[in-house]
Amino acid sequence: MLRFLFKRLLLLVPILFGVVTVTFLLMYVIPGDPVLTLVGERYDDETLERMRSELGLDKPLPVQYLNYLGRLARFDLGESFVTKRPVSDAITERFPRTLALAFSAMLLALVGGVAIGLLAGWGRFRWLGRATMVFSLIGVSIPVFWLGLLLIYLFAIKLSILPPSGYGGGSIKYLILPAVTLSFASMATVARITRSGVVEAVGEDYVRTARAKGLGEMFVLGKHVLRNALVPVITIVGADFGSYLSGSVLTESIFGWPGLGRFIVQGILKRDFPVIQGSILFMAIVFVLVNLLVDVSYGIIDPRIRVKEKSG
Amino acid sequence: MPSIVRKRATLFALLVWIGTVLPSCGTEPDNGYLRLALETEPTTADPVGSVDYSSGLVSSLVHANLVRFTPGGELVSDLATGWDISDDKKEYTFHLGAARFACGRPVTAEDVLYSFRRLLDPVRVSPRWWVLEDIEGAPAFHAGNAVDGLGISNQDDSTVVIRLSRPSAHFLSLLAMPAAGIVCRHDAEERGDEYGIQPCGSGPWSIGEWKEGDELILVRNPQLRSGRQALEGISIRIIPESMTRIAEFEVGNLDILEIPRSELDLWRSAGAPLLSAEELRVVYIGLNNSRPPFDDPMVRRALNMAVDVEAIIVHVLFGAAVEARGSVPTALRRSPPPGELYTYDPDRARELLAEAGYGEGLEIEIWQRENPEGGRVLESVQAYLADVGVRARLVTREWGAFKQAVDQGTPDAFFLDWFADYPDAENFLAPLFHSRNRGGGGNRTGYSNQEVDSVIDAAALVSSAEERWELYRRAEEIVYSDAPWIFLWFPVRYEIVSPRLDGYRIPVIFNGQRFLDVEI
Amino acid sequence: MRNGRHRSLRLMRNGSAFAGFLILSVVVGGALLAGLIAPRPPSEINLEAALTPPCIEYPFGTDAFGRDVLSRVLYGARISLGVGFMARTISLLLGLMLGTIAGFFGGKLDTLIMRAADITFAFPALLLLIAIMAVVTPGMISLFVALGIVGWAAMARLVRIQVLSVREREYVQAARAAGTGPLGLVFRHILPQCIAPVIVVYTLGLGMTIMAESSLSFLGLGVQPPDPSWGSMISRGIPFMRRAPWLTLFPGLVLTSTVCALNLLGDGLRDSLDPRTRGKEGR
Repeated sequence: MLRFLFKRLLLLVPILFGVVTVTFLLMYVIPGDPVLTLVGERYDDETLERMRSELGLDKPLPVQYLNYLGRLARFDLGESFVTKRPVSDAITERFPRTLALAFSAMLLALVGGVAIGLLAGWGRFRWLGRATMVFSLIGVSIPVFWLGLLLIYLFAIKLSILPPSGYGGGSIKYLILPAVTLSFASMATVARITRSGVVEAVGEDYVRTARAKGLGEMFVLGKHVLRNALVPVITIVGADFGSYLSGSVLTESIFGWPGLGRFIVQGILKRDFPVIQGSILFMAIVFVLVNLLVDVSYGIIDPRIRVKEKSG
Repeated sequence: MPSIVRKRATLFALLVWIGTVLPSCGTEPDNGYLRLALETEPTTADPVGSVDYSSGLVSSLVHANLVRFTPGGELVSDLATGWDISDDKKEYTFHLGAARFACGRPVTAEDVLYSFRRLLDPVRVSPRWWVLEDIEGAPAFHAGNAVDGLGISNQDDSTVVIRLSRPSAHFLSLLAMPAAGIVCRHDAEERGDEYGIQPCGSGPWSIGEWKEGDELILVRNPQLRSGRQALEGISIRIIPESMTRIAEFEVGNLDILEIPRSELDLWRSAGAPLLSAEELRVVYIGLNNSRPPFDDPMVRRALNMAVDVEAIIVHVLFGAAVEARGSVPTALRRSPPPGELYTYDPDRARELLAEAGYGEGLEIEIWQRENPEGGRVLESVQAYLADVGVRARLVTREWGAFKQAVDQGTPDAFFLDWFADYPDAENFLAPLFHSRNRGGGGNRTGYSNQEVDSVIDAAALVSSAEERWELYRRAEEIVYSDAPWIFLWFPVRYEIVSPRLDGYRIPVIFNGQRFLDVEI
Repeated sequence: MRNGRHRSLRLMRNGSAFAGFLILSVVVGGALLAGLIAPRPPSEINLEAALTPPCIEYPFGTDAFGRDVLSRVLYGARISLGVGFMARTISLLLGLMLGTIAGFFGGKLDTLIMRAADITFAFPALLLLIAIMAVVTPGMISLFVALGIVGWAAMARLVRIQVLSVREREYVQAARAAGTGPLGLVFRHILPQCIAPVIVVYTLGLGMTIMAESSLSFLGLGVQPPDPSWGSMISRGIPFMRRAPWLTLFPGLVLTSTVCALNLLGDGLRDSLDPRTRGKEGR
């Protein structure tokens, strides 16, 4: 296990190097001048030149690239072109908020999705199964921004039980609507997977045997079916974690949630290169680590599976 | 029900319950705090770095200038209690009153000098350095040579003398811009780049807490003479989505809301007491005057006749605009706009186009900047143009790429608006139409007319407001008949304020409202 | 369920997949016949009729420029489905090619391609999309390519695994021994075995791609005006959510049901094509 972990961690180095390079090329090779977004509506060419050299954008591309790598090696993500403040400050400030959102969404998706999937797959309440599946189908198919605004109108304006937006200093009730919005699509997927996992497992001999042996139904369900269904569920949630992180881009805008996703989009639209590079790299690291965690957790949940090749 | 399901269901119910039992609508608004929302977060509160609206707003609430604008757009004294102007109109002597920065230090002439030098700094270049461009030696100082030649000096602790290289009637207005805010030398030097989030000015407010990406809380500047402001402070939330801002206003979490025009008739028909004001902003389609087809004034005039601006205002903008005849907004005029030259007349437009040799029609590109809220009107113009045989392709680009292309004269035409830097007719003529400012200076159509240039130049030397306006009116009339643009409209801004608010009005210029007279 | 029945028959018997197929047929039919059945040209502006609620003349109402929402939804189907199909096809071709090369030849090429896939995977997908769309000139082609690039890695991984599992089978070995060249092996013996899971992933990905375009539209980076895509119609209708809810409702419903249909169809295909889960669905 440790050797496996070590190997996987080592493998991260070339991947992250690739991420850095691709991001760098994406930003610098394709035309678009960050300085032009920095100056106002009124400027002169000399100001542009000066600002370019102040930001180091006048140097040849390979030099800029090496400089950037050099700074990275010292764990320096540079300063935002726009605010002139260290990118790492902004990330430390904002990432915990995005993480809080992503984790609550993941939890909701897991809990809600598994519950729905169990209900639907158990076969005892067929109509309930059908209804929940319809709900979850709509869940994956509704645009996040539309859903978010509908929820705001329902829960904040019509029912006025939840605040419409904001961070509220970390209070839970501010978290609920954005987390539900963010978890919706994933909850639906989890429900579907759980359902087919349950359906599959119910037919297996060992579940029949267990049932025949007189073990209580719920016990059987808990012990065997759930464990069986949990592996693909964990896979999905792990793979979806990236979409929680990047899905937060829209959710954060709608709910005025001051996280990293909105920050990156602002950065991208303003061509704030250090911000884009720094935060995408950071997101990628988190994402890759989460995937590693998922792989590791397979072995813990189901010892029969040891680090199988993941399929797309 | 199986127990696991029950467990999950319980957990779920618990989550929902937590949501409902907690007190329902956010923390109660701190009494005496005005609650505002901005679409984008200020990038900085540092005067020299404030280019965008949000930054300019915050920076000017925190910093005082030598002079400032009232909500009504009048120029009044701020730090300078009085000033003398020499007979040759080139030397300004400002007398500072007794004021203190939020940190407790007194505002001295030395701070004013420092602030202006900082704006002109040759190393840390400010995109707004041009605000002080008219000061003697400023361009050289900014270029990094002639450090001693700068025409700013202090006679004593409370007297600042500024020499201009040429008379400039709107110089005082420039000094009221956010970029010319006076910073505390001690703090600015000490904090460096951090000054942007920890500014120290002598404005009515100072930053209490800046929760990044979330909320900015301004508190009373403790050093300000008491009795000047009724509010305890201002909370500014960052809410990007306009529908979300509306929701926040409706549940009572905001005090002032700008109504997007998509909701305008909804609020009107509900009988909401809306405030409205014509903005100091002109919306236009710039035509590339330097090459065919738009180097021909006849073609440009034809296009002006092809578009029914009035109908667009009524149906698409819900009446939230005033048709532009010329480029100077109503609030800055001393006489009515020029007579209507381009009544909607598609037949006449087709005739003119045929006369100009485009009877077969015309294919052009109109560029617009990516702007989800504002850019959604151009398709109606496109339809009107198609009606007279001008097939316009719309090209949308991100702001930087848009500016680059337009300033290099790539597109045939572009859709843009121009915000006032300061409330003066000069600001709607010189940058936009003087041939000196072609390209990045603001004249993006490449329009050039010597008579317009000389009239605008002459107006800068005249001090009588009446005479100046007479000259600007003449310049505008020529421009209007030359039609370098398709003249569209001046937008009208609609706002609603919560009933608990008193004494607020929509300012003529955005940094005119400092919330000194606003009460709760 | 007995095995041996014809596959398409099996698919038809799966009720929800059939429902998906029906919905999709209607939408594709609408897209193909938009020119015939749309009451008006999609970009025809009539300012006097702006924001007319649904009525007989305008069954889905009109938008802020008085354009017919029904016609725009129909033409929008072309664009939304078109973007989805083009992007997925790009992913598919890239994935098939690279996945086959990696799986068939193995070795250094395999490592190289799989590392590239890992790198693509390491980017949060939507962020990568936003970053690409923000820096390239906006337009349909950019949209296809960006969405296509983001999806290639998953496809390549899938194909590679299939190829690996087929490569050593007896009949492939036999064909190789009989002197069939690598191209022949790949096209005649290996790829046909990969088709089933690839079709499933393609179909399921279509829905996601259409959703991704709508997210990009919300940020102003999707299909550019005046072309209607469902996503851009919804996002441009958002400010009118209360004043004219039909602007978001109709394109929203069509988008949601199309993506639903694609998911149902994809699931159904999986059930009938994938031997592992065949017959296990408890119905």
